[in-house]
Amino acid sequence: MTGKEKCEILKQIRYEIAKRNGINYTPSDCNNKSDCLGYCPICEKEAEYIISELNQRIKDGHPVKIELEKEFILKDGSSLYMMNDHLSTSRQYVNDRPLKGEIIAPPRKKSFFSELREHFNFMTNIDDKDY
Amino acid sequence: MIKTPLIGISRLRLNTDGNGITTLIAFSGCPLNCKYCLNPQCLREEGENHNYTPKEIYEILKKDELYFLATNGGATFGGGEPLLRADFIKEILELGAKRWHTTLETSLNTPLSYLEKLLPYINEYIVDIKDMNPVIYKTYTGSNNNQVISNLKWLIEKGKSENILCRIPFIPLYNTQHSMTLSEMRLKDIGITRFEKFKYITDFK
Repeated sequence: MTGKEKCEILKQIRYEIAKRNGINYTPSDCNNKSDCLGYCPICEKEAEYIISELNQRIKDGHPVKIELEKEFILKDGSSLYMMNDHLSTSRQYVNDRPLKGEIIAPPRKKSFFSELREHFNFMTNIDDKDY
Repeated sequence: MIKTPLIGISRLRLNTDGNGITTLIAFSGCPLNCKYCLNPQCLREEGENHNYTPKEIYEILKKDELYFLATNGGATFGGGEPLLRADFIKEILELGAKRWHTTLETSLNTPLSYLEKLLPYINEYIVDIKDMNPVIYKTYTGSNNNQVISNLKWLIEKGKSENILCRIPFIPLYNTQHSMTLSEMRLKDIGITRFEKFKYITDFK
């Protein structure tokens, strides 16, 4: 998933919560042509505005509805709760961003055959009774 | 509270390492030395990674409160080994982060006292089991897994069985599909019900 795609999902969440709670909100047009992290100061300001409006309603004693139900469907027909921005096992970081894809091990320090021999010896000593 | 080194903060993750939309706080420092470590930067000397105070981290988390509340998401603490920073995490939670869903991604290979400090706050535990066979575990991580199993049993005694997801990886050259099955059986015996199995991708295809 690109940052732009994530941004679009977050925008839909903001819009939906604002609508459900009678908050006057129009998402601003994004002028950024390149990809982003999925968030930026403009998006953050919009989320902050909605939170402050919700807090005001709570303070005034009005009920608010924030949690989206499991059936919540995005504009493209997909379910928010079924989406994954990358594989759950990927937890590598570069400049605060997870790398997409599966877990990639670092390069080996030993030669392939010496490591294979070492591990063959190790695996032949494994016993099911040790569990 | 003094600053603590992090290897990264990853905001607005969708249904990854925890419910809904989450922000992952990945701490530096780990008691293990895994052969295929995903984040070797977590083992760097302190001072080489970015340092934050609990308040600074809480302020970053708060920016995404709307999405946490909308999706029942929140903060995920990972690393490295987050339990090594239990006091620091407790402070973030006490500043207000406990009102969101909290997930701990851990090896559980630390003294029980660290786990005790966070027990009242954590909603979900994602436990990186590696392999239940002590020889495989020791060979792969350089440490033994007695503490992992004893901490896991303690969590179950505290009624947290349903809140634990055990990750069992296929680790090329260290375990097999058969040993993954044995690990799962052993974990079921002690009361674990939720599992995630996956494969480490290495150049040993």
